[in-house]
Amino acid sequence: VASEPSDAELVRAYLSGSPAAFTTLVRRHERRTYNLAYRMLAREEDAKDATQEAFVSALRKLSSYRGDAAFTTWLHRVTVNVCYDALRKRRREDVVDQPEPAEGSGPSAPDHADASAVSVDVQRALARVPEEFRAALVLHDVQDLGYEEVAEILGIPVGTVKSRLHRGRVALGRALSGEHAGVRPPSEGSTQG
Amino acid sequence: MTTTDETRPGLPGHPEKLFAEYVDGTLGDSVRVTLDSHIATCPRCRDEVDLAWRARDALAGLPELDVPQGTTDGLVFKGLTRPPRRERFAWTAAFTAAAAVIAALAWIGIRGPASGSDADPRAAAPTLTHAPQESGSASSGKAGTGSSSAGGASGGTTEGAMRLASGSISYTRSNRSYDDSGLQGLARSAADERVPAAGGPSSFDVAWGRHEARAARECVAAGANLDSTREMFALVDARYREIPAFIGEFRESAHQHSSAKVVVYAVAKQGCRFLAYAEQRV
Repeated sequence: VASEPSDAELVRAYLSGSPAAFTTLVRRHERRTYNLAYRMLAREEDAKDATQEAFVSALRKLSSYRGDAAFTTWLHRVTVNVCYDALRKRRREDVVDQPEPAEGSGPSAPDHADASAVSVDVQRALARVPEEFRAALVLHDVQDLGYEEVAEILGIPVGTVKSRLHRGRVALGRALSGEHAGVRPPSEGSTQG
Repeated sequence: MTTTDETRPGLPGHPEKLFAEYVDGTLGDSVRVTLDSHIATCPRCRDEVDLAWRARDALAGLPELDVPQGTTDGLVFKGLTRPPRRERFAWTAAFTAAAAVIAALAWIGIRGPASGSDADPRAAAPTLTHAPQESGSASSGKAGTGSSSAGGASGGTTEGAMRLASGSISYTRSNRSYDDSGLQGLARSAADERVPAAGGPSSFDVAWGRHEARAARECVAAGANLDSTREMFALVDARYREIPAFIGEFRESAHQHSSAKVVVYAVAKQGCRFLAYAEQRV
């Protein structure tokens, strides 16, 4: 049985004129990409859009992918940036649509068939964590990536990743406890390692 | 997951930067013991570490979700046919790249059309779309047609668009007006001929120009909601129930849930809307 081509081989094949290679890359990575987007955005439709957008963006940028980072790392970076864009857009729309924030207008309940009530609660709480902390949490604690890889994806020093992780966890812990206050916004001038 | 020197500041005050590793259990013993001592005497740090543990455990328990069906279908044609305003330029660039591949593969030759059934000049059908059946409907005369909104599904795929350029395609014109059984006949005869392998030169009916051929491919791909496992090998300019139509013939490789088959789509030349579908196992 022939072994599966590596990501790098598929990228090279695509750039050499084999369009189907990109299909294989999409199929191979769509699950992680979707889950990253969903945990960042907490809405199924937004996560689907972000997943598409991430692959579209990756396709556009593929020729500039140098292979100096693992493809997964590179794709995660693209996806996180797409999610940040989506969250910015959401904020702008919220400002336009809801000039008076309603009482208790937190993130809407996740709409995914995300099984248990517990995971729904966790997802809802996660959506209240500042997004830069959230990204670190999702990459490290949900997707199980190491500090160094998270640092590479987010383009920040390893020390900052650890700091964001801790602050994010504390914020999430408070949100899970029903505490709404006490989440410090990202301010990492003293945490650059 | 190693502890780096930059995160070992000697524990001044509240050693926040060490807490992530403390909670992850990746600190070295000596640092951990020192931190244990600090936490034992510092309510604030103890509180934070308890919260962090709780959060970490909660996140570790989140299930990995399945990707909703259709999430990555329609990548290209969603962009090509309904480009978000801010994406229009980028899409143009992406498609230009795909088009370059298509143009590079546009060779000249002639191949006759696959056989079809007799014309069936019934009244023009309303817009039809389909839910392709799970596997080959080898029974004769029954194309997999149904009716639903043509715009309901996201159309086509990035891969689909470019796959069209990757194999050999025969371009022909026909005076025939196909009906469902005619499409099924196309699929059956193509399947019987053991659909030609990809990689050879495309063949063009003399009346097809490259630009026209490309536009026709895009039209079929957009209307057919292609998935990535399908590769076009023939394109016929004809009619379906008297509606001017492009009829695209595709081979679909065997995959996890289905054996190899030939699928045929009819797409209206005007508006590229889906008209009908047939398939035949190879």
